[in-house]
Amino acid sequence: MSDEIRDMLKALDCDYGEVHVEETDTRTIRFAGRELSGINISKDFGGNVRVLNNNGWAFSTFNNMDRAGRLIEKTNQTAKEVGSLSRFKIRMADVPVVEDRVMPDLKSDPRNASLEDKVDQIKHYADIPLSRSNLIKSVSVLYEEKFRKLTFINSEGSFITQERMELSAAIVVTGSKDGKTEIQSRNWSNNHDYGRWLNQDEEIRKLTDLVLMYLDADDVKSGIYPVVCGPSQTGLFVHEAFGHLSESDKVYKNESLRNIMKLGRVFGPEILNITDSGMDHGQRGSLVYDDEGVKTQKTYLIRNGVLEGRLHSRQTAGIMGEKPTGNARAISYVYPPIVRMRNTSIEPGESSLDDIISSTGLGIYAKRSKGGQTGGEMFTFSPAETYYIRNGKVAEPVRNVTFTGNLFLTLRNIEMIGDDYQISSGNCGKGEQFPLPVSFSGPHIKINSVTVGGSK
Amino acid sequence: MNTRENQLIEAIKKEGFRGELFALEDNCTQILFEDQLLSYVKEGENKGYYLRMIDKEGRMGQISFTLIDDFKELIDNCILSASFQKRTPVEFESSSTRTDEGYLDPSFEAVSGRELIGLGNDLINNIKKVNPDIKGPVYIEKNIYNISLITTENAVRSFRKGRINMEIEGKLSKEGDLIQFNRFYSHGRELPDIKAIAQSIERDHASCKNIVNLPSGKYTVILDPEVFEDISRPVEALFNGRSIEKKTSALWDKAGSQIFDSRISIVDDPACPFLENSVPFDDEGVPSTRLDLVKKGIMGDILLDKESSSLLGTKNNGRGFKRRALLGGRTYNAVPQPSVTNLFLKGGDLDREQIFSHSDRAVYIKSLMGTILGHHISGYVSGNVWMGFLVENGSIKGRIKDVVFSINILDALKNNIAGLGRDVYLTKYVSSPFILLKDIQLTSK
Repeated sequence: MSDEIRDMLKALDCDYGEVHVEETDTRTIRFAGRELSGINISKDFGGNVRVLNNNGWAFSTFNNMDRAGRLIEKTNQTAKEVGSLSRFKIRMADVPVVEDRVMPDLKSDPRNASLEDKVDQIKHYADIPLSRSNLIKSVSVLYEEKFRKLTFINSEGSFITQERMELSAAIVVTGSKDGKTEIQSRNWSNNHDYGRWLNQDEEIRKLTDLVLMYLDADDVKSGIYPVVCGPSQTGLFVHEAFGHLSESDKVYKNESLRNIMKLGRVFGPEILNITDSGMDHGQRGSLVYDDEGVKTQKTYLIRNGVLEGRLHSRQTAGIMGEKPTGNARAISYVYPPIVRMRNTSIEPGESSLDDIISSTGLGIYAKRSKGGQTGGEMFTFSPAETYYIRNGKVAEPVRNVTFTGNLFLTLRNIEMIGDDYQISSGNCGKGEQFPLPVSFSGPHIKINSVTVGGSK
Repeated sequence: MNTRENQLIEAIKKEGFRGELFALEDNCTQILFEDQLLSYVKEGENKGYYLRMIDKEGRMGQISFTLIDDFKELIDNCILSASFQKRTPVEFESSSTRTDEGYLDPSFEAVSGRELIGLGNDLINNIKKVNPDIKGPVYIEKNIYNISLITTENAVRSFRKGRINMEIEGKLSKEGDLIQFNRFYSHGRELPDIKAIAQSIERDHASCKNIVNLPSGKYTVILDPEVFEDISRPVEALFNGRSIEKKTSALWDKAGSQIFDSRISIVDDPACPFLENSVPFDDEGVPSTRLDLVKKGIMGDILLDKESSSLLGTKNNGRGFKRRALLGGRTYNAVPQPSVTNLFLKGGDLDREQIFSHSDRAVYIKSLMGTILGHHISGYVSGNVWMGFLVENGSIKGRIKDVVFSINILDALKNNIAGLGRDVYLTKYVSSPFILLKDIQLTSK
């Protein structure tokens, strides 16, 4: 069937055409408290056809391979019609034709462990918080191993098969005391190592202690503070606040935004270096080829404080006259590839954590992240684990902290960058496409004058 | 359900098991405009299944899939999934057929891709008249959903539902200041009123001419009806039958107690026709009934699915829905969880002028960003004021920037209500009046 599709695409009277076929096998185990709440075994098959004809794009999806052939011609007709109605000028950047097969390079394969062993492991983990205190009211554990086989064929002759593992493993612990509820979570998600999820008893004990500690913590007093971000918060900050604005589909057709995001413009202090890479093997956002068959690379977005690059699909690169970076990604066959991040990082600097903390009088230490959102130049974060810094020392825990700010001002306010580095993993949402596996990483950083919201 | 689906259910019955097959088919047409020009047409016909099966020991297994090709493999996977479980309290629906026709207007189904393109062009032309520099993607999407459920106990449920979504991410960059004029429209029968959307963008555009500084402090805050979607995010967590059963909701022991100001009444109504979450029954086939979550400030009904109602020993009210994580929306591939349908906050007795002139100085919040991340199970909501204005003596003085709004709804809806607007406005799946809150802490640069 793949050869037939290849021949059909080559013969298609269009500017560009591609077909994705995806087979996904997923096993999900959920625990609620000490009880197994469900094991779901999922088997999905689907694909899509994407055609560019006379500056018009059309995209169609299918669940049955028998429909693929007919859809190629139909999608081309729709693309032709779209082209006839639009004055949108599209140019796809040239990339090499690739024939390749990429197999997962696993350090430890979860398929070698039995379902019984996995259930027992999770049951053991779920028991740790519940045995520790009767203030712990619920524990939920989600373990998911997903194996995806992706086939990509395009009208230029590329034919790539990629097999990937996506392992998601997370525990959420909830405690309640005197009408106050606290939730903390940890995740061990990655792309190559089932072993990372094993032997985590100590980590789960620490997580439980954190919940118990925050049940007695006060809400933050709102105001303007210097903020020290831990590595996961740094990574999330750079992902949300800068990474999304580096996605070229946001700027390539908007002249005023293009002026703001002009290459060569100074965005931060000289110590600031920001990258996005698909090459960090085993990390959640790493991949060999993106969903347009473009080999991924490491892209410097900011080097020494200056805007140096941005993230591209073939279309955004073609229209902006820049090189593709391998950032076209889709969460599944139901969606067309759009410009997305992979592993986004601030590179380590030279300050020690001791120096960073001791340089801060009254401030906030956001040790770990929970989530964030961005809209244009504005961003919002809710850290998971926060403390006051008083007189150069980490002091009492504080809760319900929200950071907000203007990206451009905040990047300029980065005062210190730590010499440490840690990689975190998560899921990214853009438009209707969530969850996309990504990673974000960095060292500790200190940002001056951050707006910290709270109800006090 | 088609023959193949019925054959699968028969095969499960033949093995002596009980089964429930849920199917979701989404026929979607999506149009994308970029740079004020048509760029993309996306058409999809996607169907997925979720099968729950109870084995002879009363244990429930579950699988999801897109192709019904190998009954033996599907049933074996379900047996494997069930083999780790304890006896389930869940009983599948039995012996009744219900097909609901009133959720899809036939004329709506006939709306063509070209008509959707026409709507987009019309909207873009109207926005250009406001300011040709407002640019950003415009999405228009039509979905026709076929939702069905069949069980080995001879229950058959099905309904078809349509909706049109229109989303605008209009960006205007002015001397380094980026303003977003975002709009979202969704309805199951009415096409969007393009002129009204453009006029509302025009009003905001005019109000954004000045930027005013807002020092941190306590303010009277006017919440636009659209903001009720943000501040009601904790409702699903707090009134969730499973959180109540596990005692993790701050409201687990508050049934019948005064939890909010007596002017607050919140109804969850799935029957209101053609809204985003209007349904005749939930994703477990149970009829979804209207719920008075809060009546005159007193806590009433809670959100229940089969599992939570059985654990709590109360009557199921049909709130077991399969939703996509975080962003919401329908999916076949999720475990049913207690969820809200369409939320209505009842109106009060103030007209718009009284709301805006209530205080000499107030902050009018039109939209928030980041509220999806709050500590919702505690009632906490926090977000960046995406679009907000300083109001003095009833008139808008200018746009405020870099401001954080944070409240705990358990506190603010009890102690800080200064009034509610008389008129209610419908957006997506929530309906709300203007809400006037006093003494709310706002933090800014």
